[in-house]
Order: sequence, then structure tokens, then C-alpha cells
Amino acid sequence: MWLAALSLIVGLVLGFLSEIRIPPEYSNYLSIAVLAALDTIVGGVKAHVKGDFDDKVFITGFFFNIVLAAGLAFLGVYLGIDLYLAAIFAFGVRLFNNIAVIRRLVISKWDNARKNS
Amino acid sequence: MSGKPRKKIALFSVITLITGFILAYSYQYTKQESEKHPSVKEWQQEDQLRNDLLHVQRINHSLTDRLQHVRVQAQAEENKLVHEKKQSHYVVEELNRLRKVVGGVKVKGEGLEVSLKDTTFIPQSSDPNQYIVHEQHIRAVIYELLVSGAEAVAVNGQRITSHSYVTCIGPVVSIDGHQFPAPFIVSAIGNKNTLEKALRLSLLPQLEEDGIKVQLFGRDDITMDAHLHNEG
Repeated sequence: MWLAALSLIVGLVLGFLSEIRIPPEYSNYLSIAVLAALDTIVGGVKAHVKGDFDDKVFITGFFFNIVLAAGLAFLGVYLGIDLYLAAIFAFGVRLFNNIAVIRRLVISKWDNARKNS
Repeated sequence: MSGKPRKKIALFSVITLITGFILAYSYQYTKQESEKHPSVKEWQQEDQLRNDLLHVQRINHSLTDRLQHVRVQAQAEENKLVHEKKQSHYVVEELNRLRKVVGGVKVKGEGLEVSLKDTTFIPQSSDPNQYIVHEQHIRAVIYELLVSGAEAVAVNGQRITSHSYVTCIGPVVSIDGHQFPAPFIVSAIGNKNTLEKALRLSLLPQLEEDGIKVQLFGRDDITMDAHLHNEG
């Protein structure tokens, strides 16, 4: 678990140090990427807590979600509709759902642990 | 148990690495963008101010142009004025000179006075016409004086011009409609010596032969009034 936290910090540092610049019109994709990444992490945590973690689902979910969201946003740009909002909405809802599930599971686990002790 | 959790953690680490990277990058990107593009309101204000400035600059520019134009115009006007003044100065000088010549103004200077008087000696038998001053005598004196370089001539104070006429009306002589009896004083402004010599040379003996008493007076200061066109 420490490794995950460490890699998060390394990623943050890398992000701050990176000198790559993207054009402003791609900022939508960036926001989707952020949400997709967060969703994947939270989803992974949920699966881990639940005990049904599957690395294939985890990895494919991350990339597939990002690609799908980016595709939606891309389509939206060409159709003149802000379709990336749909992706953001979906990710946001899932984020909250997953966090709620995690919270409940953690609380129930904690309760169980206390009863047992 | 030994293989799976490790793989799990490794995968998790990869994903967290990517997430961290994206998060930090996004944060940095947004910060830079917000620095690059201030809020819309601020931007609009800036645009407005820039437009105002441009407008004012444009007005200034056009005003400067106009100023330059007006300056050039003013200079041209001044030059014209100076030229006109010079011109009018010459014109006035010329006018004054011509006025003096034609008798339009009062003149003053050295000159000669010629007094023509009927003779006092009148033989009983003779025709009195032969012993009085006739207009032709006056004319002769005037012409002689003018020819000799007189600048202005007057008869009994009546200024003679190029339009003047001298006629005989019985015992008096009319000059430009003003009647004068004898004696006649023809005054001329000019070099008095020259005028006197000219008269003595030819005219004086003739006049004396016609029985006219002629006297010449050289004057240092003769004043002649302007010629006026009121006849009669």
C-alpha cells in the first residue's frame, strides 16, 4: 500500500515538473482524464475492499473509460454539443457511488472487527 | 497470495502514478492558463480600456494631422499677408506719388511764383485787349513751367492737373470753372533756379512784348492745396 502512496507522490512531482504544454482546446480532455483516473482509483479501492478485485478489469476499465470519454468529448466538439459533460457526469456519479460503497464497507468491516474483538 | 497482492499493488501504483501525474499537470495547467487568461470580466475591461485608448489615440492622431494642416495653412496665410502688405505698401507709395503728380494731395516745397499783371500804361487809342493778361499767356507760363520740370503747378491757388482747362470769360479767366481776375500768380514747385532760368530764356520777353508786367519770385516754401473736382 505504501508503494501506491509513493507512486502517487512521484506522479504529482512529475506532473509539476513536466514542461509539456497542450493547446487550450484540449483542456476538456484533461478534465476527463482527471476524472477517469480518480474514478479508476476509487473503483479499485472499492473492489479491493469488497474483495473482488480483478487486475484485468481494473486496467482495462481505466484505459477504456478514458478512451470512451475522450471519444465522446471529441464527438461533442465536432457536433457542437458539450458531450464531455456526459462523461464528467457519469464519472462524478460513479465516484460518489463508489466512495459511498467504500464508506459502508469500511464501516461494516470495522464494526465486525470490533464485535469480534 | 504471494503473487496476486504484489501484482495488485504494482498495478495500483501504476494507476496512482498516472493519476498523480494528471492531477498535478492539470493543476499546473489551470494555474498557468488562469495567469495567461485572466477572468472574462477582467479581459473585457481590458479590451474596453484598450479600445478607449485606441479611440483616443486615433482622435489624437487626427487632431495632430489637423493641427499640422492648420499650421501650414496659417503659415501660408501669413506669407500671403506679408506679400500683400509689401504689395500694398508699394501700391500706397505709388498711389501717393501719383496723387502728388495729379494734384490729389496737398504738396509743399521750394518753387517759383510768377506774377502776371495787366500793364498800368494804357494808351488811349489802343485796344485794351492788347494790354491785359489773356488765358494764352497763363497757358504759356504753365506749359513752360511744366516743361522745365515743375512738379506741381497752381494758378491763384487753383491746382492745375492734366484735366485742367484755362478759358477766357471776358475780363476774368476761368480755371476749371473757378473764375479769377488779374493779377494772376502762377506758382510751381520744382527747382526754382531752373524754372526761373527757363522762363527768362524765352517766355519772359514775349510776355513783356505783349505788355504784361511779369514778376518772378523764388520761394523756399510753397504749399499747394489738393485739386478738388467741384466746378463753378
